[in-house]
Amino acid sequence: MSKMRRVKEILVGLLMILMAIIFFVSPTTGYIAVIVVLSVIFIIIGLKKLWFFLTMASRMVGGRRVLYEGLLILDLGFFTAGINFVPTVYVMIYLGTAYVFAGAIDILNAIDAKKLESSRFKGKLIIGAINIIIGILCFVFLTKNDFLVFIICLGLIYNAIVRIANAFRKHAMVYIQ
Amino acid sequence: MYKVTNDENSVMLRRHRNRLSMSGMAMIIFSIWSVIRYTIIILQNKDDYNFHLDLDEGTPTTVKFIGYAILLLLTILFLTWGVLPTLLLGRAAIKVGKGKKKSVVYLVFTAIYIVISILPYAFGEVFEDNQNLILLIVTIILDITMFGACIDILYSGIKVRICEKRIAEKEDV
Amino acid sequence: MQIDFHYYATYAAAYIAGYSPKEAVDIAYSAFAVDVCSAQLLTKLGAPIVAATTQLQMELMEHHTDIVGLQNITRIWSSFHFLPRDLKAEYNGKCTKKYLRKYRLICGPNGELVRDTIENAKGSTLQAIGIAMHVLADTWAHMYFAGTPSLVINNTDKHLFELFPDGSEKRIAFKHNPVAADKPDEGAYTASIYQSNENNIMNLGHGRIGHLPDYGYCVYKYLPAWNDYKEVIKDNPSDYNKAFRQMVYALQYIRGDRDTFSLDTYAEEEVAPYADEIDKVIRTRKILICDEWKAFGEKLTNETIEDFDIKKYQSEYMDTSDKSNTFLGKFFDASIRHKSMVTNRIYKSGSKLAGISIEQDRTKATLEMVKNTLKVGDDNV
Repeated sequence: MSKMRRVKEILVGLLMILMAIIFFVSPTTGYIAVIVVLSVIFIIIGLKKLWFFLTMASRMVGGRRVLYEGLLILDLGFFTAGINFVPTVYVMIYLGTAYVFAGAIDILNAIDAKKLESSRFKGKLIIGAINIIIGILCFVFLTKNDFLVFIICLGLIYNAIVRIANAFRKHAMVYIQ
Repeated sequence: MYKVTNDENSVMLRRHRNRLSMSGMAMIIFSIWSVIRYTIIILQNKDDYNFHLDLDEGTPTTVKFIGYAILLLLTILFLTWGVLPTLLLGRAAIKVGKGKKKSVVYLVFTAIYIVISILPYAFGEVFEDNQNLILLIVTIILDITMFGACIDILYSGIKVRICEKRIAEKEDV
Repeated sequence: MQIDFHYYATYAAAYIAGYSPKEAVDIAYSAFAVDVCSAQLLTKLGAPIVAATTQLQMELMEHHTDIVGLQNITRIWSSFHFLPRDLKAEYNGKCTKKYLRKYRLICGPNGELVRDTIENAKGSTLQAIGIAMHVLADTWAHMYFAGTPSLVINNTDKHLFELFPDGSEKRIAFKHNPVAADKPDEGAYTASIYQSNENNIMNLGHGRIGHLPDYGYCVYKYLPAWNDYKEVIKDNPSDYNKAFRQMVYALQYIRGDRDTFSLDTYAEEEVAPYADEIDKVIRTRKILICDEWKAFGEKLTNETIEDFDIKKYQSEYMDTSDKSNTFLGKFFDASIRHKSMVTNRIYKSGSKLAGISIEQDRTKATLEMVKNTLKVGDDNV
């Protein structure tokens, strides 16, 4: 990892912690910020897909699909920015699904590690179980806004810690012949 | 022993059938998306419902709920009826793209739809009453996409017909 | 290809080329070990992670697809399983540099890199020979796909038909259940799901066409994503036969029985006495044909072929201080050298998809320093 990228990862991590604090202190402001961020993300993804189509996918068999996907996501992004509300229940469903899926991947990886008698399986198993529990709780407390705030803050802080820790890990970039 | 069919007509046929299917699917998906979009916009403006239903403050909640539900259902049905032509166009394009159907009727309707979709822009109707600039952008993106998909369906549909005829002529020879 | 070809067929090819049964087993073991030498195994053995020759499915799924992660994936898969055919290939038409770099990673047989791989194995250990045989065989099975996550290169279409000797064809419709096994008798196969992200793991190698390239009996036609709607026919029986003959030819060259290794050249004479039998084995309509290849190999050598055991050499490696002279130590050394060579060639072609490669004097101290640096719990290499 280059120095620039390390700095960027640490800054993004600190920004995420700051966002978590703001969200915890003022949930309404934080929620509006989440919706704005969501719409910006969709718009960026849409534009990236369109760029991808122009530079690469136009030469691919069935590449038109990428073009239409990009336009749909772009439209969705602008639409999210334009409407006055997004029911919290949709955000909770999205979060819950993401956590359950991530947890399942971790547990399958742990099983794989156990087969190879690797010591990493315990850590992965615990992380996977935690992710699944959080995901299930998202569905249980589907309409509780307080729980949504808690989950988003927890997710932001967890991801921030992982990013900052990863930035300090040793990475090799050069491969010697 | 095993042979590929990579002559010019076969390759072109595959290319344009694929595009026809993709654009047909795009027509259907964007039509459904426009129904969803308008439904959400309507749901935002709940006050309009109260006005249309002409409900008193003392009306029981159950009655209000049933009233809202019926009005919402009618709205969705109306919107779906409005996008029915594009749904059928898309479906026809997909069938021709998969080689399951041979038709020119859908091409005629596509050409008509292209003309109809230009009119609101030609007469400037789209830009009137634009209270929300962002939602206007959304409408324009959607319209441009549908327009582009229709052009693609028309072009690819014609190409498919030409290629199929050429291949049939070669087989006869 | 799978264990049936990489282990048992390689054993048979090595014996036909003139190696003793013991040497043939060592070569075959190393050839298949390429498919199991993952970062997780290396961590368990305390071996350098840089020696990884494959990545497990779960490793891939949690792998970062940032630039460094993608380079790591490309380094492994392009080096050992999808050796690029022509790093100077030109695209027929206009394309961006980004597209061209990926296009040049498309795997195929009889490329310059295969020749370099075989020539590097000459005079080297049996482990290096085994790795070379794995790489060579996979250039035949995995042709038309690239060892890098790429939707625009590795995607497939619904236009996919299995072809039969009587001239008939049947459309293959994949199921996407990763747990369900393929059923050749019913023509039921699984493949990875469409993912529109260019760098998604599902778009690595031949995932989008499932295991069809690994089934020797299968003949099919499809539209590769990069081929502008032109069909290709993948005649696996023919390709597997050629792969076997080319392995024998390459092994004869490595042994010193031939002066040069030429591309598109096969050991027809040496294999001729066994041609019908080999062809029959390859065309067996089963997912794995280990029993058939094993029976052929045992009949050939009059000796029992021990089954592949991943733990066979592990204690030897873990219990000694002089690891470089153990079986696995030699295997890891050979894999690092081969990966290094391929990465360097890709980098020299103007692409950083497999990472950056610099050349310096290969002093022992430098190599040790690199290995020690990379050994420290790092799985990003």
